[in-house]
Amino acid sequence: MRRIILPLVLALAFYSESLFAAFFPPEAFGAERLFIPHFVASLLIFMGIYHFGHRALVYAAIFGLIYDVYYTGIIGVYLFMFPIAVYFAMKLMKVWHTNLLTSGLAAILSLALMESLVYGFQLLVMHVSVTPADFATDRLLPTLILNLAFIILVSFPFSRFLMRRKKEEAES
Amino acid sequence: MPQFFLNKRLIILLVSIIILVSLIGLSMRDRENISKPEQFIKDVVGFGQSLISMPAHGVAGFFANIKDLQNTYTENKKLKVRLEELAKLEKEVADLTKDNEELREVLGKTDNLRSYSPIQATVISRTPDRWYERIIIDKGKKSGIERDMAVMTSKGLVGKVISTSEMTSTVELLSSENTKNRVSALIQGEEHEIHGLIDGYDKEKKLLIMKDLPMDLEIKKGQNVVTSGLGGVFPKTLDIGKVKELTTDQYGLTQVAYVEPSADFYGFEHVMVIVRSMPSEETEKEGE
Repeated sequence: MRRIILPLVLALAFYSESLFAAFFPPEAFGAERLFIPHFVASLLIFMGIYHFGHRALVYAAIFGLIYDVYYTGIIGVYLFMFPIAVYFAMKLMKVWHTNLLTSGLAAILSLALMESLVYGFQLLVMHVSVTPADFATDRLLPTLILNLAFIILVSFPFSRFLMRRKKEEAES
Repeated sequence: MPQFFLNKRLIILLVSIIILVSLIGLSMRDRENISKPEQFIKDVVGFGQSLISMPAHGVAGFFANIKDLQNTYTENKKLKVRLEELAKLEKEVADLTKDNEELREVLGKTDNLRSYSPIQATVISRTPDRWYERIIIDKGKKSGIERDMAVMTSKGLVGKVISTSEMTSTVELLSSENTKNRVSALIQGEEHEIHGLIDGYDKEKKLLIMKDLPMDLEIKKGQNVVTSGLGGVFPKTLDIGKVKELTTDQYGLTQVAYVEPSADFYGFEHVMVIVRSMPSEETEKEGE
């Protein structure tokens, strides 16, 4: 029973992203700022940081694939970007000492990397007409702010939950 | 050299890059519809999504209702004024419809580009990464929805269906930045109809861009823009919006109109998928 809690939490985060997009149109924040929710990616990165390494990567690939099929229709983008973000965060935490502050920072950096890579892809393959400067101010910055807020909200309870799960698994 | 190939990480990286490129190439092809496994994933995920979005919309609807109540008084005043005009208009419409039907009977022409039957659907989710504006609705192939069909809210045209699975379909909105997203439209004038293409969306002005309008025809601000029913499976005279600005294109050969859309591209929950009664050219050919 306990095993399905983690995937369930991730699935909830997955659905809440689209609910966020539906209920908070860009006009709600004024101007042309795009606040892109990356709740699933944030949680996956936290899984990677709190020693769920291998499983975090697998989950990241699965949720990336679902994200691609369900939302964007171009398979392969998030399928690889989610694991890359998780992997990047894991590598960062090998250098840093793990605490809430550094893991939050690592998560934000990985999200920035992921968002930039996706932008690079859109620019190269789909030929979107967004300049790098516009991307940085209108999309990247607001997105990082939104996800930082999300991470601040959930990081403490979620990391506690992850550590408890880890301990239970070690015991059984 | 052998050491190079023994590096496990490097091989994983190379293999995944190959997979990535081939997967992207596969999904970017100009294909009729998404593949069966993709449809299956969409159905399963869409089912979960509709379970979650229903109560969420309920809660949001409650707050929207409270907001509506505040504006009721001013709205009521305006509506009363409109109501008197409406009664007159209604009589005229009834008369014209009857007239039209009689004339059609005389001609023996029953097919009409204008007639359609709507399929009611609910929006279950919206693409969170806003590179393209897409929504997913809870009706699919099973209900008779096909690719390229027009999607409307009560106010006007919002987009068209780009892919379908058994229980869900994905709709690309007109506000999406996609060069493939075109709608054949016309401007209703007093003397003649002016044909053009809705091709693109100006994000800053929040206006649709209508291109390929002939230079010699006079277009006024405030004229109505509707679908033309030419090409594809859109019926005629679905409301798109009103002309707001006019410019010429970069070569000075055609006019470009900026159209203020009648529909809101945000905050709607119910949509209609429009099935044209008159079959399109392609489906007719298949039937033969």
